[in-house]
Amino acid sequence: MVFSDRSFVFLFLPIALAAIFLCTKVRLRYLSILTLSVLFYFYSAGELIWVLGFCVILSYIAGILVERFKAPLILGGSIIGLMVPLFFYKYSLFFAASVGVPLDSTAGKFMNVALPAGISFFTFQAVSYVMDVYRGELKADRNLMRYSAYLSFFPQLIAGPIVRYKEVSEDFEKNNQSIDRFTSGILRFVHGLLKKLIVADSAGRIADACFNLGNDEISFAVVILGSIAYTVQIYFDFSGYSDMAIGLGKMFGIKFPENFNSPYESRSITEFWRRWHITLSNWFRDYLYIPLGGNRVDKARLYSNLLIVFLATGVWHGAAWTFVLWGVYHGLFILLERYIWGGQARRLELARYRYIYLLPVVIFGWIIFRSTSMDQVLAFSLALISPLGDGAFNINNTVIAASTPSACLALAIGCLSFFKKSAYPIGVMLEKNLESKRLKWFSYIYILIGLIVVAVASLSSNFSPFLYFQF
Amino acid sequence: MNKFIIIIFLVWLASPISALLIFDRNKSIGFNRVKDFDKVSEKLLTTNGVKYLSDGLFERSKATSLSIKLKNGVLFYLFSHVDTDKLISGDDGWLYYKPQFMLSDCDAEHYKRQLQVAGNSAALFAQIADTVDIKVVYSVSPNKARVHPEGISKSVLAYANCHTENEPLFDTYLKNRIPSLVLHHEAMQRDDIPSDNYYFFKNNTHWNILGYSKAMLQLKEKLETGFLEQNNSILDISDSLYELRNQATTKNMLLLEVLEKGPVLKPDIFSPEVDSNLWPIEFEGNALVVHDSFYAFYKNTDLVFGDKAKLINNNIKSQRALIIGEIEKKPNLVVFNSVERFAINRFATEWGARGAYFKNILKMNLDKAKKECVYDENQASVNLIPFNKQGIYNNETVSGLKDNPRFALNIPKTMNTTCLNLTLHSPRPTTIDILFTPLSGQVDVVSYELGRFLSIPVQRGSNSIDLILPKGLESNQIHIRPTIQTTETLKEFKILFGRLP
Repeated sequence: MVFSDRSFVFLFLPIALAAIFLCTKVRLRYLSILTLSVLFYFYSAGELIWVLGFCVILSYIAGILVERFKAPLILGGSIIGLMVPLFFYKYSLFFAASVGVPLDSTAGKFMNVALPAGISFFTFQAVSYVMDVYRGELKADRNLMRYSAYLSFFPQLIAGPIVRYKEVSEDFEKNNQSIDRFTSGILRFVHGLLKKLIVADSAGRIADACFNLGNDEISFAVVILGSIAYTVQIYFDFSGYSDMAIGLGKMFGIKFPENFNSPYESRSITEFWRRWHITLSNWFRDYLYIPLGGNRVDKARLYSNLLIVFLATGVWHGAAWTFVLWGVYHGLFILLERYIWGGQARRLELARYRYIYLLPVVIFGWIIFRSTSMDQVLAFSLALISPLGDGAFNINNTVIAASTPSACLALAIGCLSFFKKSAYPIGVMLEKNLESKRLKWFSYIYILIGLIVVAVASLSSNFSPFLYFQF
Repeated sequence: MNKFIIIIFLVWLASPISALLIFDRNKSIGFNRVKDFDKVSEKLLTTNGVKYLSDGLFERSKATSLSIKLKNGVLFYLFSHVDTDKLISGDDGWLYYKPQFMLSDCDAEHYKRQLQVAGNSAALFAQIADTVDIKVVYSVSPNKARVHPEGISKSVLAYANCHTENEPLFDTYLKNRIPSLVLHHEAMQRDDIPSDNYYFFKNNTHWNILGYSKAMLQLKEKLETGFLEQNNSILDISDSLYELRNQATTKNMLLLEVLEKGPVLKPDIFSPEVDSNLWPIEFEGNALVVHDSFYAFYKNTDLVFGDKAKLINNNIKSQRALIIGEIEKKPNLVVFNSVERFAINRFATEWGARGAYFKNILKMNLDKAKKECVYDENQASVNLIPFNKQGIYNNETVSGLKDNPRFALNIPKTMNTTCLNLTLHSPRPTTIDILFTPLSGQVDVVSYELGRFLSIPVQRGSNSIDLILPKGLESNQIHIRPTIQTTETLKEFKILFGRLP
């Protein structure tokens, strides 16, 4: 089930809202959240729901044990236990294929299983909980129902944000619902839907057409079009989902952390990672980088720590060499910015240079990320450096077919994110407008128009999953 | 104001379901009938349960059809470009029906075999019908892209598959096999009409009055004068006016009421006041015309076909029983008309020697053969030659070394219509296939298979089957293939050749 599908918006969500609002007592509230989330996950992942259940139970027990015994062995064991399903479902086939295990062998078939939706997200959430309890940053929750409701809460279950227990525990314990918060939630939800249905899906059709071509059909023009389309798609799809998740959370009285902060306005890769998938970056910082020593180690160790973190970031996104390369690619630029370029890096932080530095680096990174194989990365790269070659501006008919006038307009709207300069992302800005006597009308009109557009787009469209579901 | 927004939002959430309760439910959205909606409680226990439930509910809601209409309206009127599962916009306002491209086969060898099967099957149907004095004509209405490729843009070409490459193959292979074939696109030459006139509507998958009139003139010529070279048709459009017409394509596929200007013939060539000698099409006896939506374009079919022709739309499933009934009445002429994109399938199946209509034709043949064929009483049974060592024929017993063994037999050189008498004793009900000489002259096993065979039912016990063979088989070899297993035998198996007096 995806948030933009009519089955969620017009069937599941009304029922969920009605259930939550009827269950005003705290215990009933946990139960209704848990029931709805279990149903949501069942209709998303089917019988693999046991993986979520395992994660909930193990992390709940681990939290109590590490608080009681403060034993590193228990911490380590529980983290390994939590990671085992993630490694099995996500990475075992990749490792097996990498070492030459045939996919049609018994072992190959055993490992070739469907990936439980959102496993990367809820596993990381569970690990963060256990580690925070171990560090004394929060108390272990003895209330299994409340804890289960937190970990399985459906707005952020499948594709984030990665929410730490300490960030939302108060909202879970008390019913912090209000009219203002609910209205704010509607705004973010509608905003997210618009980003997904209007911009991301349209840009995605163009990107898919480009990346589905054979390597011999990739021209310079296809690379430019495809990479820009995917840059727009991935941002609007993922940030749109985060907006929806945040909006839904607010409707249920839960405030989630922001996950994106206009990343394409960044001036450096370092800044980019403070604005892109913020909750993931923070997770790796707090639970991998800092335990490895953080900044308090010698240079060589520091470099390797950074590379490890970005390698892990790449691998977290998927079990393929392209993701590994993408992670290392970003890690190298982080190192370059911090330690090799020194003062020169500050020049690149001038706003205008982002068009010749940050954006090209990020966009090329998305080519690596989106490519289905290293061969495709190479094909795109070669075409990119051949603007004067034969057929450099040939565009395959399937790409032209995908580049409908409406899709091109949506892509153009998406490209505005490259040029935007603002203190806040648009969704946050619209929310802040609600607090202003004059500006709130703009937000209200935005909601009303958005509701009409979303209804038309959602009711008339076919199923279109979120990109980050595969993680 | 926040409360107002919340109320609006909640009403919005409930609107599709509310529309279901307040307004009539959709039975279809355009051409697409809403899916059956049953066993909901079972489906809800599966991972697709919610989607199944929501699809079932929302397809029926007026909110959905309104949304589709709004979306298509924006795309059509604001962006002048639609790309749905059925329609794709080309250049200059041309709208093409996607299936006409997407059904085309890019495996050339596979496509040629499909054409062979279709052509052979239709040809055999016509040949067997001819033995009972029924003339069968096949006509093909063109895909719009064939007649008006000027609107095909690169976006359209993305879906084109190999339709351009396949067009000449389609013509050649079918013409070589079906003598009584009318390809209507041959009557629609672009140069014959001014550049601002068209044979098809831009926003409709069908031809307009110009296209239809050209097709009917061509059909008339073929039926009245035989299948000779076509003369130029009589058609004056120099002073053509335009009339507005609601387009069924956009109405049914985009849910938009689009009016389009289409030509009006001056003079209206179907009006008997203009030229009472021109129409209706003349043919002997009575006729059955089995067609699809293309021949259904012009409602006053009596003018064109006269009152001795019965027109039945094959697209309407409930009408198919009528077709069988009309064939049983033994019309003098049967015309099968199909649009190009569905022709291969129709010729190979329902309108060919494998289809339901052929069973009636075959029965007429068998009955006539039983009554009229004569045989030389002193004739010995024809020798069956096992083909590829698949069976044994010995002492009037057929047995198989493989399932469904095949045997060859040579048709004598004697002239005139040849009859075949087959007697046998079968342990159970089964069939016997008779495979005719390949039209292409190839003699490999596969070529005999490609659509040129018929199946005759065999009862349990003794059987005596008489068949009038198609003309022109003298000195050729046909194959017999009983549907038996290797352990089974057919006894008292004899074949005789005879003739019609």
